[in-house]
Amino acid sequence: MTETEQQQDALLAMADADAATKTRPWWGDYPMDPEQRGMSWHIGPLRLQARWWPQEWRLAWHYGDDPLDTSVEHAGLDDIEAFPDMTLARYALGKAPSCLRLVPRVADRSVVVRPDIPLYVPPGEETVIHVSTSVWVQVQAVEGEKVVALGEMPGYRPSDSFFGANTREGDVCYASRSLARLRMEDVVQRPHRVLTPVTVRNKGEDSLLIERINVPLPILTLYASANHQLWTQPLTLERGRDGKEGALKLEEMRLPASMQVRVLSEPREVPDKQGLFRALDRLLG
Amino acid sequence: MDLIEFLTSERGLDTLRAVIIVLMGLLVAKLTSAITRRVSEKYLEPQQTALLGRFIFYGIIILAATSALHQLGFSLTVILGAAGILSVAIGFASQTSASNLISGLFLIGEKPFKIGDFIRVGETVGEVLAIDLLSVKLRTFDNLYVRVPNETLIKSEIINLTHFPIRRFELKVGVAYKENLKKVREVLLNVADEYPLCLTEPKPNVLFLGFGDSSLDLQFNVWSTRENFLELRNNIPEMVKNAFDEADIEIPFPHRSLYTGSVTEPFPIRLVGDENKNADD
Repeated sequence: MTETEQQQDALLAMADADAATKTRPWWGDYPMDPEQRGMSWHIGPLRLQARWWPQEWRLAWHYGDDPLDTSVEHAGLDDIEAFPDMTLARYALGKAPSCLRLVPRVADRSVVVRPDIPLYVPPGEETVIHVSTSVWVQVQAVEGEKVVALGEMPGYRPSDSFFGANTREGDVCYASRSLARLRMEDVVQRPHRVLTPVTVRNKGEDSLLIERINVPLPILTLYASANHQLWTQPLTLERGRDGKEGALKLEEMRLPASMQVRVLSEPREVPDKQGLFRALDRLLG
Repeated sequence: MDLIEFLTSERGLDTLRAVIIVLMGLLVAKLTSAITRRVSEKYLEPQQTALLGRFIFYGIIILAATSALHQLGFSLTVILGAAGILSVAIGFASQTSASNLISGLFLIGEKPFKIGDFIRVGETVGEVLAIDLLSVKLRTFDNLYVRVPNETLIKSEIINLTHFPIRRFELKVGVAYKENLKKVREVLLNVADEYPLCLTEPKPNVLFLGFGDSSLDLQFNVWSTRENFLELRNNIPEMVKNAFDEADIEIPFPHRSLYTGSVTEPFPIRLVGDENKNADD
């Protein structure tokens, strides 16, 4: 077992120990009483309200001022409380469903993470960078076997960004600043954030400067650990001996015996074979 | 009776054959052109697909028409000779059309824009609806249909507004001479940082333009995706104004100092506050 794997196990075991002290996660099913008119949630900075009107669901959401808010709350709702900057959406549905379901999902575009301080990986070294990105929340109306996806919103709207060699070619993605923590014990767990362990292996002959990492979130599976922390599949970025060509590998979430990890949502996109082997400059800035 | 006689005669049969050839030609032309369009749309741009389809359609039609004429007993040599003389005559008569036609071929080959792009030609800004051999059709923002001859396009400067995936918005803003430029810069960059539609990379920046007549002139550059450009362009000025108001940064307007000259009498000044005070007393 490599040092990296030992680190991952340590975190997973730590998470397991905390599990008993935690309440239910914010995702999952929320049954509706026949008299109940709606529900509201606080998921970190996201304030989400769902109200049943005859023949329609209305979703309203806005964001609190603190993007690092970790509070998770759930309450009943009589009427949608209006906020000046809230987004409101209506969904026509013939019959009131018996249950609302919140499903966490990964971001709908890649996220470019820029460490606060540039990080070097010397030749022959490998390190695991823990990248934290915002979760997307999908609201579903559930009636028996019938599941209708209503709306989807980010846990906190990240800034748009552009990842490419120049301003002519590249992909529109989201930006995220990160402390790029290397020790798992330092990773702060937040309900609306998803952690992606990115292993960077430098087989080149000189140091590899990591100014930014492009995390292809739409092709990753989302997991939850027993302590309700959201994870994606670990990624491995390997820099070849020539220092240019790189390979991106998706790994299965390993399941230590003491840890329960379950799949919450499947990837948004199926990666093509070429997508897993790209030029390194497409992944590391 | 005459019709039956005509149809059973040699001449009648030839005419019938010619009609069948034309009809079959039409059918084959339509089918071939449709199949070509369907197959080529995967590999070619929409305007190239349309052009290829048209070439194939008219090519087959011309072949069918020539065969039909041949069937009717016309000599092809005479027809071609006549066509040669006719084309010279038409060529002289339609120089503009020919020029447009050649320009159209160049435009399709050069591909400065494609269907769906927004372009600016002279004073006209609009969405490209079609790129044809003679002209390009645009739809302007106020929903007008504009036909621009290809010759004009080849000669003039075309700005394609949606060619690249991202665009930069440049906001010129002036602040009062008393303001601290470092603070102004921070406030502006903070506006970009807090607005999700403003791209984090390429980084927003603030350029110092110069010492203006009544203000320090700056240029605030922010990037957005081409889809969000209009929204960003509308919102950023308002956000900058609000941020300046909040940070107590003055956006000055031209100041005028009135000087009546040393030889004139000074302006009479009336103190309104004192007048009110006296009234109260």
